[in-house]
Amino acid sequence: MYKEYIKRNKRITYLIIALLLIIWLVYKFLLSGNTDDNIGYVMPGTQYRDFNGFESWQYYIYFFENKFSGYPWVVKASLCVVTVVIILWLIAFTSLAVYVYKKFVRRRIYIKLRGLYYENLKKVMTAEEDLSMVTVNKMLNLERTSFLNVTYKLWFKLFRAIHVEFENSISVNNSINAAEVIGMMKYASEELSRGKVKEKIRLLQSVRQLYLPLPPGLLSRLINDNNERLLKQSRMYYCETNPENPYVVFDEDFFNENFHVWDQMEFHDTAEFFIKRHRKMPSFIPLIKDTKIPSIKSFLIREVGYWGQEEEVKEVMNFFDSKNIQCREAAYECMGYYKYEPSEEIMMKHYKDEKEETQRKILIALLKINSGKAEEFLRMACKTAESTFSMRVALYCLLNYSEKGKRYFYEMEKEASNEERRIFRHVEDPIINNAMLKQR
Amino acid sequence: MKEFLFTFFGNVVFFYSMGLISSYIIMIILAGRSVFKSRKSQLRSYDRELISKSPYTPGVSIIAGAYNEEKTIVDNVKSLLGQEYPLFEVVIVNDGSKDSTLEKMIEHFHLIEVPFDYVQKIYTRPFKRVLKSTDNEYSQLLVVDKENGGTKADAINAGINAASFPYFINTDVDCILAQDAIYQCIAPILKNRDVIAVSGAMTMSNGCNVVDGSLKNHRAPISPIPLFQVLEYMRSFFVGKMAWSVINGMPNVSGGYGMFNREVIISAGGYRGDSFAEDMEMLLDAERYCCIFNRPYKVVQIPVTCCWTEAPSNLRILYRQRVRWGRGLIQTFVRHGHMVLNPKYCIMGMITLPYILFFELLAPLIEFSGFCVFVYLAFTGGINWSVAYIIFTMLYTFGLTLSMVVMSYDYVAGSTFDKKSNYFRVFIAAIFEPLFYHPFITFFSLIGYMKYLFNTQSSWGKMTRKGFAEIEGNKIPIKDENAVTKKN
Repeated sequence: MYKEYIKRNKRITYLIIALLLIIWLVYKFLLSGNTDDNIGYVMPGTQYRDFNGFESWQYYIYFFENKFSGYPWVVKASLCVVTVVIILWLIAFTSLAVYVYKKFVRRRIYIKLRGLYYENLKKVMTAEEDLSMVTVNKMLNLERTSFLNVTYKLWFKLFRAIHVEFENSISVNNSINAAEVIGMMKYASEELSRGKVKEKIRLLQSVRQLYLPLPPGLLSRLINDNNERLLKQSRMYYCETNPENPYVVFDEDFFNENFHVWDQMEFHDTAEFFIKRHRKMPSFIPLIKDTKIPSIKSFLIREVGYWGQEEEVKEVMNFFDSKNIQCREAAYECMGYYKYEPSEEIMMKHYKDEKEETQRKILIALLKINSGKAEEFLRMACKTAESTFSMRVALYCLLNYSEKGKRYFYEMEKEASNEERRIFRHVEDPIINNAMLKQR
Repeated sequence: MKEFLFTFFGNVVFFYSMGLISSYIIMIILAGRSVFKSRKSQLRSYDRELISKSPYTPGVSIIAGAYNEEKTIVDNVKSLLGQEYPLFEVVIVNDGSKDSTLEKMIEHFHLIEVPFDYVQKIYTRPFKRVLKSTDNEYSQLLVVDKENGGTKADAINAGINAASFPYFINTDVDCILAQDAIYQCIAPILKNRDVIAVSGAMTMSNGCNVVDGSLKNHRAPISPIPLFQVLEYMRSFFVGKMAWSVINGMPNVSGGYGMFNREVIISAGGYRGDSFAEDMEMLLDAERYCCIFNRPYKVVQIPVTCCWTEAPSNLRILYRQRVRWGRGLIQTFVRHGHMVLNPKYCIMGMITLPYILFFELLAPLIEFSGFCVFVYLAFTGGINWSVAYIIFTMLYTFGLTLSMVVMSYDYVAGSTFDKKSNYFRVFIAAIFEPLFYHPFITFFSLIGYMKYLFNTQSSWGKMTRKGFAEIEGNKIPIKDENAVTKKN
């Protein structure tokens, strides 16, 4: 009963403890020994004097100053270091002890939680049919209706563990119901309103990972947060869950110069989330036009190749004439990802005007499109390749393009010089190629 | 005059120590912030899920040189192949081994010669051939066979030439990597495009059980010399490098384990084949390249133990290693002296290198001269013992505090060991380290300096390897009577 009260009213308990501490300190330092009877009074016949709290501090400072007054400054400096070290020790020990204790408690709770609910939760989360809240409640057989904050964090951990373990057989609806029954959604709402930034980020990652829906409107403040990671994370979540105008969050605050590969991966993941749920993606073209940062422009162009519509891919072809090399390369790659046949001829026309590195992108795009019309072009690319690397790429594309391409490859190999044959052998070697294909 | 000189020297040493202590306190604070911050920053399962399924995940080549490693090569290569990362290859460079290192690999991994188009982007000793496995299970393995280059740098350069991914990990073939080592190191690169190198923490594998190339338990070594090195590495990674990383002034990414941007390293000229501290020099070259061409760069230390390496287990081998390190340090300053206090080289030139010059390069000299003066004064009765005790207490308690702090950082960052009781062993090492280990290290470094200055013949120290013996399914390290020597 008493323990339960403390757990539920943690803040009030801390407040009471703090109040008692203050009363004790005031009594100790101001009142005790500060009566008229004993101020500055040494008891007759003894060397004993009753100090009050502040006097004790003064005494220790006096002691510290005078004890070493005769010593050189070197000793005094050393003593200062020793004092600092002792304070450091105390801080380090205390914080470590607190950390170890917290970790121990968390671990114990998690083990208990896992022991009690893992099997039940697994059954709920992997059930094939949609379960009602009542059924979920029965199946989970919870011992209590609410938990401590730390326990909710561990519930999320347990959910994630099951999610990772049975990724392909997870029922999102049942997971949501289970989270609702446990009270995790309520906890998440509170934490996102009041928690620390890092906790909020982790929580958003958790709910995204588990596809849990938070109450609408909860993120309105977070999507404009000062912290960039939180802002991005909440915007990703916002557009995943908000059907009303979800793409408004993709503005210049989102696609800024700090949009790193990590953010690209998260964006791609979000896009995949949409596709899996048959939701419409935003049009990438206005986003590409709006952003002025070449790396983001090129990223969005690539994304068109993965998720875009045919009209958008057609539009991307305009970037073949872009002055920015990153955008041009991305446009060629986009054609490859989308396997957009009409772009073939135009890419071939641009081939000669491009730098070697970009030429290689065109060759790979042609291989991916694989329309069966580019063998002659690939053969020409092999013959005119300016470096062994480009030649290797061109030969690889030719060999893997079609039967006709393969024939051309072997014809060229017969005519090749000894030095060139080395490259042919590298490209046609099944072990090297198998490894390459397996990894790519 | 004599008295004045001694007083002057005493004051210099004292100020030097106080400077060192102050710098350590700053480092402790910086590193602490970073350790606690990184611990809470991200969910691991979320990171992994994202990295494992994204098409934007970059490939990573793990490069390791092997010279006369027949005892452990198969287990070690298996360990490297056991990474969980979705896109990686393992490039083993057989640096002209004279024993059966290559034969063992050929036999076990079913390797055959393939017509690989090897392009020498960085100069190395002649390349002979490339071998790949016919077994699909080992399709990620690529073995480069080349003539002996006499240094690890040459082998790694050959590996960089043969590697096919944009990032590579430089490691030693006897190192055992954590299964998620690549995941840990790629995350900072993905989150910031300016990151050119990531260093993971290392510790000692002595005392751990290894089964099929992976560690089955993580324990602190029992023998004293490796145990002292555990403490030394903890200090270096969890305070020194973590703090330098915060201000982007990392002086070194260990040659035992580090991830690099391949393009930057090739542009900077790769590893120097004639260097005794090739890892430090390579990083300085890379940073210099970035500064000259105004390429933003960051070098990051992560507070996660990614690599377990075999520590020198006796004084003889430790001597060789530290003499080489000492030589390497002084050689680095001779070659990169122009970077010191040169604002063109940013934090590296203005803070890191002057600090290392003053507090690392000169430290053995000052410590040794201080010790000599102390002995002289002790015999001539010139010491005020009560003062000496206090100063000694100060230095000793500070050293012990530093050790305690690094142990707590290690624990907070995720703990290198399986059981907390291992920290007790490290604590015992911390008690004795200033008295029984540090003096040797100082002395060995001084010998390294002298060998460099007097141009004693350059040769890489030989590293005695222990093999792994199989006992009831477990493999435990055993002492090798006919120790194989390694030139790298």
